[in-house]
This record gives sequence, C-alpha cells and structure tokens, in this order.
Amino acid sequence: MNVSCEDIRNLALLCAFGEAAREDEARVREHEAVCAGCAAEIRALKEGIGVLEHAPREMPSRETREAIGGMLLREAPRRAARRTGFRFAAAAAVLIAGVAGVFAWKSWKGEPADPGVKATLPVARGEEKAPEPELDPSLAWNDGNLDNITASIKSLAPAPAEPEDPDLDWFEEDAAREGLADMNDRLYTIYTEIDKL
Amino acid sequence: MDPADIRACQHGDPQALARFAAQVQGPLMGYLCRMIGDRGRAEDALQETLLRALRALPAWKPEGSFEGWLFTIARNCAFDILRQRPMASLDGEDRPGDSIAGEEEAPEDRVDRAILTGRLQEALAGLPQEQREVVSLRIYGGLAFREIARLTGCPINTALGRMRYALLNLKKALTGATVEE
Ligand SMILES: [Zn+2]
Repeated sequence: MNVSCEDIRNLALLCAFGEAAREDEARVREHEAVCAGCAAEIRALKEGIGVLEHAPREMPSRETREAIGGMLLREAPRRAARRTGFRFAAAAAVLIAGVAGVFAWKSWKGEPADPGVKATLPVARGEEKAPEPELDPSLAWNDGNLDNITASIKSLAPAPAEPEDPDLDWFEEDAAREGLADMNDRLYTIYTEIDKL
Repeated sequence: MDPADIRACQHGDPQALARFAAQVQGPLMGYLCRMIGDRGRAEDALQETLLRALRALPAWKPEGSFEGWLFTIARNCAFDILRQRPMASLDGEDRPGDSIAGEEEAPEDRVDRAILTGRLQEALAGLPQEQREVVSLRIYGGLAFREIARLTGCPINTALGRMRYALLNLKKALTGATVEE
C-alpha cells in the first residue's frame, strides 16, 4: 500500500494516544527509519503531548458546585427520588457534587484514554469507519475514591423508604431543604480543609 | 462512565446522579474554560450543560458513547455562550493557581509546574478555536479522535491534522518561537 507522509504522521498521532493497531505502529516505525522529515515531526508531536500533561485542571467554584447539587435535587426524576427520600438525595447530591469532584480530579490522570478498539490505517486515512470504541472507565472518567465517599454519605444520611404518596411531595421537599442547610454548614468546614491542600 | 451507573442515573438514583455530577464537572469545566476563556461564563455553561443533560438523560440510548453525548451538549452550550459574546482570555485572578493542585511535590517543583501550566494556558488560549477544541476534547474529555471527528462534524484526518498543528504550535509557543497555522 502506498502511504503518504501525511498518513504516517496522522497514524503516528493515533499511535501516541494508543488508538492505532499494532501493525500500524510497526508501519510508522519502518517509515520513521527512512524518512527524516516524519521522524522529526513525530519527535515534536511527542514533546507536545508531554507538555499537555501540564494542562490546567479546572473545577467550578464552591457556589457553582452547590448550585449543581441543588439542581440534582430539583431535576432528579421524581419517581425514584420519592422512593429513596428527598433528604438523602439532597445530602448526597450536595456533598458529592461539592466535595467528591476534588477527589475525582485527584484520580484523573490526564492520560490518553485507551479506546479499547484500535484504529487501522484505512481508518486513519478516513477510508473506513472504525468500530465503536469502549472508553476505558479507569482513565478520564475514573471514579477512584468515590466509592468510599459514597459509603460515608450513606452512613451520614441513611435513606429511609418513603411511601409513594404524591400528596407528600411538598412536605418531603421542605424537609430536604432543611437538611440541605444543615449539610451546607458542615460542608463549609470540609471545603476550607480541602482548599488548604 | 460505568453503564450500570448511567442506567441508575436514568432511573433517578440520587447516589448515581451525585456520582455523575462529581465525575463530569471537572472534565466539562476544563473543556468549557478553554473554549470560552472566561471562568464565570464557563461556570454558567457548565450549569446549563448539566441541566440539559439531566433533562435529556432518561431518553439517552447507548448508541454512541455517553461521554461523546455529554460533550456534544457542552459544546452546544459553549457555542450558545460564544454567540452572545466571543471568547475572552482568563483574567489575572483566574490564573492556574485557582486550579486543582497536583499531587504532593517539592515546593520548587510546584512552582515550576505552576509556571509551565500558566504558560501552557496562555498558549492554549492562543490556538485557533478548531485546534483548541480538538486538544480540549482529547485532554479533558478523554475522547478518541474518531469520536472527536464525529462530534465536531469533520473527517478523522481533519481532527488528527488539527491536533498535530495544535501540538506543534504549543511546543513552539512554549519554546518562544512564533505560532503558525
Ligand atoms: Zn515521511
């Protein structure tokens, strides 16, 4: 197959991010050995990828994290929220949305996700459609320590089974808001500790 | 995200929804900050993204990747905001010092890292929007290039080309040379 330098450079990028098939990695290496231009660009690309590890990680402000917690409370499908109890929903939503995000970042490695399925040269050249990838859940979407946090929230606010009575909705919501204010007070302490890290 | 967690979110499980919000807010915020260039407006876009996602979640079907779906919503929100007012650069108070710090490291390493992160943030802001978007979807969203191509509506070769130019431009910007197309 006649492969252009442009194809090889695109393929090299897929290789560098773990999205190329093994035979394509060999093809890139073979070409690199005989083409100084591609070898130089591929070196520069790898240096650029190394630099990206220093990309700033962002988190929303405390106010926004709290607003997101409130939004979860408002927007969660009612049927399930009623079954598990609004009070628990409020506590879990605010606490996890506010605090666990910090831990999610700590477990986020910023490494390229392995798509599970490797692209081949025809895919890199846009001649064929790649199969559906299965993103590796341990990378960008890693939930790391979240299990522990979820467990500790369970112990903070055990979920009582609520009767499925639609007339009780307004009452449950009021109770949830009181619980929310209480949780916010306790959260403030946790936030200040985290900000010191 | 874990498929079981997504299903639980679709059924309104509060724990799963809270885990969902906790996991996605950082990656989405990173993408939105780079695309919009203003932290306050990025936070507005983040809330709008999550609101739209929560409302659309029950109807989501596992035909494409969940992450691709979520970042498509974020992209629409970012462009809605950019249509109102084009991108600004992050102001001084929002320099990377406000971002999440790295793991435990020596103070001098931390300073070096902060300087590099600051320069990289500026270099990213200086990229053409199409290059900046591919980089942001890759590093914050963890999306495969095929997915990025589909999301941004271009052939995979175009997405790969944008990423290559972006990497070369970033390297040049950080080593003091001029940024090129
Ligand atoms: Zn070549």
